[in-house]
Amino acid sequence: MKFLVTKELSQNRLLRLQVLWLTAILVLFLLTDVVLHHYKIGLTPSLALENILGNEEAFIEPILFSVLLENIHIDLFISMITLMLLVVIFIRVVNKRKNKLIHVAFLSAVLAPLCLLLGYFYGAAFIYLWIAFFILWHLTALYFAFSIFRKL
Amino acid sequence: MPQYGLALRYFFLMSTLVLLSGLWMFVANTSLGLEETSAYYAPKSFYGLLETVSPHLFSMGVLIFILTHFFAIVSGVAHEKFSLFSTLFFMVMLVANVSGFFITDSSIFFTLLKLLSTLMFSLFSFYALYKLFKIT
Repeated sequence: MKFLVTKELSQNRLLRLQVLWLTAILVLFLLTDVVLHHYKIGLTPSLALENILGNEEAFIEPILFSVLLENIHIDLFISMITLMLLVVIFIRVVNKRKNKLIHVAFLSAVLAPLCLLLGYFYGAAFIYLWIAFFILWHLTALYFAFSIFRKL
Repeated sequence: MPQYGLALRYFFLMSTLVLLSGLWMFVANTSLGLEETSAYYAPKSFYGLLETVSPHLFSMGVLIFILTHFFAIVSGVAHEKFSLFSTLFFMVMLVANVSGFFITDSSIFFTLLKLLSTLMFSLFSFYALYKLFKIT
């Protein structure tokens, strides 16, 4: 058995196809993740506040802390794997230095769950920040994905 | 290469946060006490346990592989030492996941095993992350 090792994706159509499919699936994941979080927590300030902190007038209980922590645990793992895959492909395919964008993507993915956690204890301001960071890391991830599409 | 290094360091940071949040949930559920751990796991059904164990086998296995494979491909690492470390790491993870199925109200052994293996897994993870932060 021989391993056909080449660093050039343009010389390996099969690998290029696989990278394209992976990126496409990750884009689909990013979009469905936004929809899922909109239904689960809410990506508008009023909906997020109501779902996390509850609403006495509407008889809505606040989210259980154990459920919130579980969501944060899962979100961190999934965002870590998604960003790592997209950033590694991006660095490989797009030969431009984009350190600032890598910082923005990862920092917003780290800060989003932290703000959600702080929002549970300290209220609205952190929940607004959670929405902002959540959308920001998804947008930067989508930017990486579409840059990969353009180059492949 | 510096861009890969940057992404890797963020990956290690996020792995640390995943571990900390998992550990937080474990401590909240068990208080790290024998009675509390037994009281949390013993009433759970097979399905209830499987719902937690199955995704953890996948995610912990993948995470251990990603972390430990760097020891195999980075220069200046004692391979013999880290092959033992990797084996122990995977074994401890398996025990931490499987031992929950055997916890009953009357058995202390498996409760103790669950507690120790989970703490060992956390220690191994933090040690691997610390070494990788230093290497990269």
